Amino acid sequence: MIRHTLRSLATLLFAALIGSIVVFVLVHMLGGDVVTVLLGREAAPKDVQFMRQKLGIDRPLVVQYLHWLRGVATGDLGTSYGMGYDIFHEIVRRMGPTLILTLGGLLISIPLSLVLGTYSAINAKKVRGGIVDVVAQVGISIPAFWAGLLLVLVFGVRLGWLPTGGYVPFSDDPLGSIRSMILPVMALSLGVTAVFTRYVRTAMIDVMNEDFIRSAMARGRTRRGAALVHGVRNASIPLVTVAALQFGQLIAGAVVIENVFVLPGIGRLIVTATLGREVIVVQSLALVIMLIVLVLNFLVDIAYGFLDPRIRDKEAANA
Amino acid sequence: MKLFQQTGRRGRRRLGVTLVAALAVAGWTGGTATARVQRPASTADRSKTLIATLPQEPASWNYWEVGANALRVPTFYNVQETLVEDKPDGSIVPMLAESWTISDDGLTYTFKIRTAKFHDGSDLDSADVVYSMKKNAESPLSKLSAPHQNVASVTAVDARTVQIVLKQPSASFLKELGNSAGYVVPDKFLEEHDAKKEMIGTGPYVFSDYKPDTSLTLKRFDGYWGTKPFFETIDWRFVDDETAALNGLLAGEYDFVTSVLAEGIERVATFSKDTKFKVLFESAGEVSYLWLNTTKKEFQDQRVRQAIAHAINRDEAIAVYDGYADPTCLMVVPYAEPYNSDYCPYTYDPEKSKALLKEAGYENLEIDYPFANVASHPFTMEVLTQQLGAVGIKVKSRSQELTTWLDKTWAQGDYGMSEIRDSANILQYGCKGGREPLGKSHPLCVKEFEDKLAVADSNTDPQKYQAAMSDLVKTFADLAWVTVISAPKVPQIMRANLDGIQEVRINNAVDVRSAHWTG
Repeated sequence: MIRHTLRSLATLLFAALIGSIVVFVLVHMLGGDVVTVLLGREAAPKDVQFMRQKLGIDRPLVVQYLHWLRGVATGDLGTSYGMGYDIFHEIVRRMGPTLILTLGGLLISIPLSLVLGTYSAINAKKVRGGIVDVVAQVGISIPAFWAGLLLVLVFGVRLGWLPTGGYVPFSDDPLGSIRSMILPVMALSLGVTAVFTRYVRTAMIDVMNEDFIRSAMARGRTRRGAALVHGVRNASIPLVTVAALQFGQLIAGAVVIENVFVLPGIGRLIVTATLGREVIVVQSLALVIMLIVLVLNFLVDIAYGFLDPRIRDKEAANA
Repeated sequence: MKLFQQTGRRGRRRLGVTLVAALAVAGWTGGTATARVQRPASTADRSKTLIATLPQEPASWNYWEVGANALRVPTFYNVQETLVEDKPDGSIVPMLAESWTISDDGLTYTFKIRTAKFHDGSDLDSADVVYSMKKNAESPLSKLSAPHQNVASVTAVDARTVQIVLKQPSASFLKELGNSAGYVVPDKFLEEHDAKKEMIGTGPYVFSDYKPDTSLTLKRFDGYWGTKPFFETIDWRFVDDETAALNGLLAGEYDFVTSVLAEGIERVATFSKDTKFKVLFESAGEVSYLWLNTTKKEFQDQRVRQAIAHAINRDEAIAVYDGYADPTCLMVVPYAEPYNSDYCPYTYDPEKSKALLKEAGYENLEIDYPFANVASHPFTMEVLTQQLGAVGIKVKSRSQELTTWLDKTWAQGDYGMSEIRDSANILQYGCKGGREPLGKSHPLCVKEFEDKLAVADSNTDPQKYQAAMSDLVKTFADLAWVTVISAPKVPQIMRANLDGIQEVRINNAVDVRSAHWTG
């Protein structure tokens, strides 16, 4: 078990390191740097060189990368070139809207998909089960930004019930904060719910063919009762795993949603930092996101070790 | 689980009622919390806050090293002021200099500095002006520094008098002091403050609260030397998505969308017809033009350049802006300068274009055309590609993200032709040492133009200056290295009762000094 944990941890750190190198190289391949953004079209080459020197981006790329990596090792992500903000503090500040968005999306998607997926599985051979399935398929195929725009037009512009965009911190106005996040969370959770519903449906159909369901029904449970009492519990365990693994997808969805709803979260910071060629901000963000996703994967991996006796047995056999 | 089992028809009905009630509560709170607060319904409860959207946000607020228009748009005139003020009709009026005299030889400018306060409470005096002018001269931004390269000395004669001596007469110098080159900040501002995060000026609004990716709040400055503006607070919101900005305007969350440049153009006509809104077509201080790489062999032949210019149908090209642009052939910025005219040496004539290409031996001309994939540039690319294709020129277009375009195309010169919207004055198109708006790697150096440019700027007689400038812009058009297409009018959409927004944008600024609600 310890060996399994250590191996997973080493893989996590190695993956994060490789990921940060890939991001570093890709951002540099885009062309242009933060000085191009700052000075714009007007600057003379000598002034561009002066600014590059001032910001330390005239050094070889390897030196720049290692300098950043040394900072990371000591817990210092550095400061942004343009606005001069502390990157770590900025990421923490931006986590609020993104966590509300992603966790809110998960909190809505998981129970909703359990209900819809189970309903669809129980009624798999009936029209109403098929309808849920078709709706889930449609949900998967609707892009998040389009769903967001439709929600804005209906609930923001047409009905005027909810804000069309912007973020209100909870500390400033709790009700305003909740209202500002309703549409973004709905837009983000739509596709995720659809994916989870399909997953729960498939898992439930499998579970419904298990012996223990037949046993429960033989003891007098109805098919629906057996599904709800015994089936949902079994089908939902892998759903939690999938939800953890889907977190990366949720962050990707947050990039789109935060831009549609003008939310100052991590996703928007990724876009503005990339467009502004704030290389160390992009690198740091990529590292943090990768670590979050990898830690979740790591925890799932560890959980498998505990939950699945076959992994423990394999470890013992190899020892 | 028991709950599920017991949930019969009655339970489901109860659930439905709860959901409807929840939605109704959400709807009710929606009407009171945000929308109504931000929608002034009558003159009595009208807010003294103006909420306006900006499509871009600068990388930093350091005016000394950030060249992006995004910095000037919300702050020029509103927060920061200059020595003099350039007016849309080309005239120059006092600002922080309440008066000035120019010596007969056109070399010595003596400014009388007005009594004013900076936002930090300090008094404006000659030392601040001398410091600011010297710092502007050192800026890496040529917009700030280029006009000062002709300055021999800047001295404080006394606490309220500053003297600037030029190396040679310059007709444009005073005008440039109404641009970024004339910014005035407190003495030692750049050394003692973090200019990336704060801005101290003498304008009617104080740079109050900046939230990255969200907003910039300006508060009315009680110690302002001039007429105090109507609005107590200006809340600039950074909304780069035009659709989101226009939806927010429709929903009553914003009062004013400052620029509609891309996908929102198609919605302008709808807003124009809606009595709740007003569309102001701002004559931007910009022109749209295509320009050619001066190092390419094929473009050394003037017939090829003329052929390209003749292939451009400006009336059709302004469809990119849904017609909200004036077709023009001259590089005149601002568009209202007195030396502007309808002179056009190469009008749309595809047959002549084909004939010129044939005569020059370039019937199968191919041009590499990288374009910035923002604002109107992709649409302009489509139009130009089609028009040049109609005369047999094969255009190979390449989409580039703006910063990539700035680096690869603009700075490194990897292009055959490209298109841009620029606010640079014709005097800044000089060969080397100027602002070189034709790209950093391939400046335009034509003796005929250079000679006329030098004469025009050293002309201190106003009438002769206008005549020389008229001649200069015509010569520039004749050369056909640059084909000016149009002077776009940027739609600004606002609530119908918002008044006082300027129709001509000077120095890229959205000037809200006179903005107010009307009855």
